[in-house]
Amino acid sequence: MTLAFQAGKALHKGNPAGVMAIEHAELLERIYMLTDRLEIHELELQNIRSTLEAAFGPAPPYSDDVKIIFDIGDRSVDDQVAEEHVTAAHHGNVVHWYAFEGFSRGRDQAFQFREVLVHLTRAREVGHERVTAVELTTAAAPRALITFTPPHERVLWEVRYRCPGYWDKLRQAGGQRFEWVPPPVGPGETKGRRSVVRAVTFVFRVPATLGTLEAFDLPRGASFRRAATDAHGSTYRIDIRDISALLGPPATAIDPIRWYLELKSADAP
Amino acid sequence: MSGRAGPAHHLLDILAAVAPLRTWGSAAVIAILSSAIAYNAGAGWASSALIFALLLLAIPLLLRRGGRDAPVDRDPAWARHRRAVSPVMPADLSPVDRAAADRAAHDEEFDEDLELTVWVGENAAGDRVEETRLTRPHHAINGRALTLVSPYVEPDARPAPVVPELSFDTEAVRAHWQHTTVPGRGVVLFDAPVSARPLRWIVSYGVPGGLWNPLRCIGLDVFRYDVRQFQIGNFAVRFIVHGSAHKVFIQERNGRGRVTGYDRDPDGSTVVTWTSDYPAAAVLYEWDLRVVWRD
Repeated sequence: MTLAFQAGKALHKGNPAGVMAIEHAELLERIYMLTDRLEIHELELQNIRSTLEAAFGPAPPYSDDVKIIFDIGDRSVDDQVAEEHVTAAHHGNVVHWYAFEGFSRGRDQAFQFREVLVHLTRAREVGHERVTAVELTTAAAPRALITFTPPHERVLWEVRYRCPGYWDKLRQAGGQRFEWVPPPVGPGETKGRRSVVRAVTFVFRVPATLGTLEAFDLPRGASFRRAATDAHGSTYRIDIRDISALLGPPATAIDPIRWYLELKSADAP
Repeated sequence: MSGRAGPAHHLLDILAAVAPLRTWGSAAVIAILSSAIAYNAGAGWASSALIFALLLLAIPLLLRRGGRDAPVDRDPAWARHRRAVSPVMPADLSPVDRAAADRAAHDEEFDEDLELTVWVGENAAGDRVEETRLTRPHHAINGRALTLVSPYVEPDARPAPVVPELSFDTEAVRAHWQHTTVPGRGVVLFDAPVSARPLRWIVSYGVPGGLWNPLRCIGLDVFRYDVRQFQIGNFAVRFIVHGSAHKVFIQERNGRGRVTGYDRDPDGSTVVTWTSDYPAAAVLYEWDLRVVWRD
């Protein structure tokens, strides 16, 4: 900068306006160059994400048992989800990765994974076990490619993220339809399992200030029960043992598993 | 993030509305340097200050009008967070529009058939979307909240605003597009409530910066469309891929619907039609797209 200025000053002695013009042209040029470079990087990133998604998304070679814990907040911003996964190799010997999709009600509630991620851990076996997340899309639901280094035939891992606004309808209207789409298997897998998830447990933690929770229209084979109550609130559990059986025969679409949740206010009669 | 509010942040809000905060920062740096240079070179205090002020204002405005399709823009995290948790309706609507938009957003008193036509161009300029909707109001509706198809850009980049063209099957209906603070989202506000009969209308728009860049570069892409927000009857998507495609493969990831047509248009483009089961499930649809391009 100083050198350029000195050179410009030498060239245009006694003409500061000329020097300034040169300086500005150079700076603007540089800004445009940097903007172009950023755009190129952005396109490259788009391509990388798209490759990862298209390559890994549709053909998961693992199976998964999962416990999903919803912390229903007093306020919108307190809604949180914790998922405890036991992921095992289904095709092949070890699990390297997991195609993760966070809960989201869709367009009204779009956020990015790295913004809401609170915690991602893996159970230690030998030490130095790593688990990392690469965000894949900024589409409605946060998606990420979770990787396990080193891979193992069975990996225990946990993810906790904020999910602001997920239970807004429950808080505001007193009722909300809960919906979950079991992650499908690849199109090449024509018989046997329908989803990579074998068994799932949903846990709903409701603060005492909101009241008590009731569930309606549960899917076949699912049970709803109150697991615990203390001064802070109550915990409810829904267990589904066999997702594939619930989804029916292959070659049919995977319909969301859904039911209706209602809050009974504590002070209501 | 709490505690980050105050007059300074209102000013930041205003600045951010004109240009990304980063641009303002760069402009300030350039303005300071330039006025220092000018002062050093013998210009007076007053003219240096004038140079500073002019540059500070001119650079963000020039960059904004610089004709770049997608200026890279970093939304501060707190603004994004607020956007994420705020309810459907935006803050930048007039009270009348907001009331109508609010009704539109919470009104599920219609059902709709939807046919999406998606053009995969030879380049970004050829990417287009046309949404043909047949809306059957159950009672008078004032508006229809829509989310336009937009690319999955880098999280920090804000897509350029799109104003779709609206056309209706009858001259009696007129409407205007009111965009919201969330990019790609808006409300079609009808000038008069629509109720009498099914309304057939078309929303069409190009996508600045392109929708299918990964597909053109690497031949792989995922297309998602969310129909959880309204009651849908028939649902079909037509992918029109430019003639430079040799083969096109399309599949819905969760096994919904099926490909019902695979044709070549006279102009060489490949037309793949996907049709959902009836009635269409109210879910998020995901299509995996693979294209083999000619050299």
